Amino acid sequence: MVKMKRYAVTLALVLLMAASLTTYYAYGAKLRLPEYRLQTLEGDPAEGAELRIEGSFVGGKGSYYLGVTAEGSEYGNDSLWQRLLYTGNAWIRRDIPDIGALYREHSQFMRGKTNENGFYHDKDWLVYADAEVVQPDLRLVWRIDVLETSTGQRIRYNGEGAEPLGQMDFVNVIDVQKAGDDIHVLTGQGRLGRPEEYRDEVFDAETGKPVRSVKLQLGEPSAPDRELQINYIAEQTLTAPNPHLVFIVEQLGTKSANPAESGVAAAADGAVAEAVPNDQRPKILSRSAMVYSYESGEMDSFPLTVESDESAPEEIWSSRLLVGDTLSILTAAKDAVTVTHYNVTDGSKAAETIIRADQIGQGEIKSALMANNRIYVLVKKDENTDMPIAAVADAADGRILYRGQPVLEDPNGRPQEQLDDVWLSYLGVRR
Amino acid sequence: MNRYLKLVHLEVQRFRYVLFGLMALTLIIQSIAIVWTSRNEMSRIREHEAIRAYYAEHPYSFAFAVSNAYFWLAVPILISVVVLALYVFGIWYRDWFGRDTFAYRLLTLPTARRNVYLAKATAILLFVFSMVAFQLLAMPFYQWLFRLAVPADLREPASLAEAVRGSPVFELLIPTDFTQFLIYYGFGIIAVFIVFTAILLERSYRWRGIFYAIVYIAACLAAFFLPLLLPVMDGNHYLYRTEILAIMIGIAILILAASIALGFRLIARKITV
Repeated sequence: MVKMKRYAVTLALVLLMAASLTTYYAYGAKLRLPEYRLQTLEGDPAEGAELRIEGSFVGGKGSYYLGVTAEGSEYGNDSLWQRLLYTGNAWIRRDIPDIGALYREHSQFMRGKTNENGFYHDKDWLVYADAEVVQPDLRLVWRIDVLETSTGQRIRYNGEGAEPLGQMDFVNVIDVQKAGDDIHVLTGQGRLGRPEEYRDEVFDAETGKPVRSVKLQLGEPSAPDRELQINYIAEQTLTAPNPHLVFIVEQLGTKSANPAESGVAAAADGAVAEAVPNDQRPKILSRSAMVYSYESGEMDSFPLTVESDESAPEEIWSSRLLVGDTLSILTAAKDAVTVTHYNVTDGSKAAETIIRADQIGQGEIKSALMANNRIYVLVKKDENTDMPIAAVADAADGRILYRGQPVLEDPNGRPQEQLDDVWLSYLGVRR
Repeated sequence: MNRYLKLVHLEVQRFRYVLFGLMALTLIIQSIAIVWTSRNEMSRIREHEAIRAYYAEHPYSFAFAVSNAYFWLAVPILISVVVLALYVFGIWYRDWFGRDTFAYRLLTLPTARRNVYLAKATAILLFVFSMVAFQLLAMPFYQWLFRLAVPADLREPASLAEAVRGSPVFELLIPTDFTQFLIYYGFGIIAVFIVFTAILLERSYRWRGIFYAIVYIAACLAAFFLPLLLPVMDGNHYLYRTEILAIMIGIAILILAASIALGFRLIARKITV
């Protein structure tokens, strides 16, 4: 005992250290944020399994990203270890199912790949294509990487395309497909301040070498005071085969004041656009879908609906999706979501699917998207802290298959005032 | 093992008053900071209707008090860091430059000399983690002071983790993420061993030793930070981030092992008394 007394200070320090740090990391370091869960109000819970309602919890100090699913809450404070391991290659998202599968099945092939739009994958072939503008000549250099999965044979090509295109400031690989022995790399490319042009760069699948370069003709403005706005829609599943690519070409009534934006402007579609009041947007004079066939190299077109200013409700946003041969266009307003399906092979239009906000619950439509042959809609009464209702409908006929609402499962010691400070206004679908 | 533990205890005894002094300084300054900040905020509430109305909707929490007082909460922590960093050198040099050349007695003890090396390293780490643990123990006390200073109707509860996140210095010292804790303090442990070996190089070779020590530290830093340059050098992003992480961990372990091995060799064979 006397001996132990001599070492009292040292022992006390060791005990202090062990007890404090263990208690802190076992218990004290947890934020103990409230737990929410998506509860089924009506319908098949399996339909709501992929839903995530997103927003933030702002109770207490700080604001935390919050995603609510049928399994519970996901707070956006991943541990450092999870961030270090998960993000892997920061250029390509591994949470996309088909991309994640490629990383698992072909990890060596996936090294050095930086463009998630550059993949093609079928049961026999895995192809990656990318391009970059090389300084100081500003010329385009292509990188083709082909793996024949049945034999393991790999072909690589790194060099210029089939035609000298002169100097370029930018190039974007939009889609990669394989048709027969040809690899088609659809790109947007051009010089700053000039309209972007779209080209189908064709490479030989056996050798990787360039074969030809085809410039796509997407039309011209019909008058000097008009401009074209072009969006492209590729197959929703990034790596899947699809013999078509669709361009939505809109002729706008007034030319933009900014010369860099005049003429053709394009963006990858499927994104949610910002709300713009009707009276500030250029007038859309016509809208058509131009369908490019990789196999034939031909471009077909069919007209799309243009809402008139008088009859159209205030449009909040629209999104477009290409799955196989079906082009689906979702238009969302505060009181209803309208989905129109087109067959891109012949331009035929199926009956419109309309889902009204009052079919789901009280309030306005805040978010809507399409995926997995379903339409997902979020309705909310109040802008702030009201709990929204999410619904899943069949994309073909608009039947409501599921309705759910986030509910509080465990306050985790938080006072009621903090629990009221949860803002859930966005819809996501777990891939 | 017994002799090693006795040497650890010896080092703790030699530094205990400084350690307790740092703890006392931390407790006093941080307590004053929490109470002063909280009472200051209460004065503002009493004087301004708009602030009173705001706090009726958003009650004041301990986490906010920590955030508002972060500068004075950080001052004693920074003082402690500086003192402990200097003592990483002092724990060796006081033995050589003290009045009785204590190093002679230490290095002629009937025990393996590596025990002296390990005991000093253990002591430094014990001091560091004791200060961290003391900071953690003090937080509930500061919460109690906060509750005394702020009326119940104007405050709301806050977790310890929220309070820690309220101050960037606390987030660095006691990160809520355990992986971050391991990484920060892992770097610190490796740094202590690198400096110890550099000191022993100097003690072994004197003037040439200073040069060797500088080169040794530079080489360790270069080896450790080289993998961080890999994503920059590897323009094609060939290596996955997990692979770069594994390389960095491997190099860190190698540096630690090399520092300890070199330190053992120097203290056993090169240092003469």
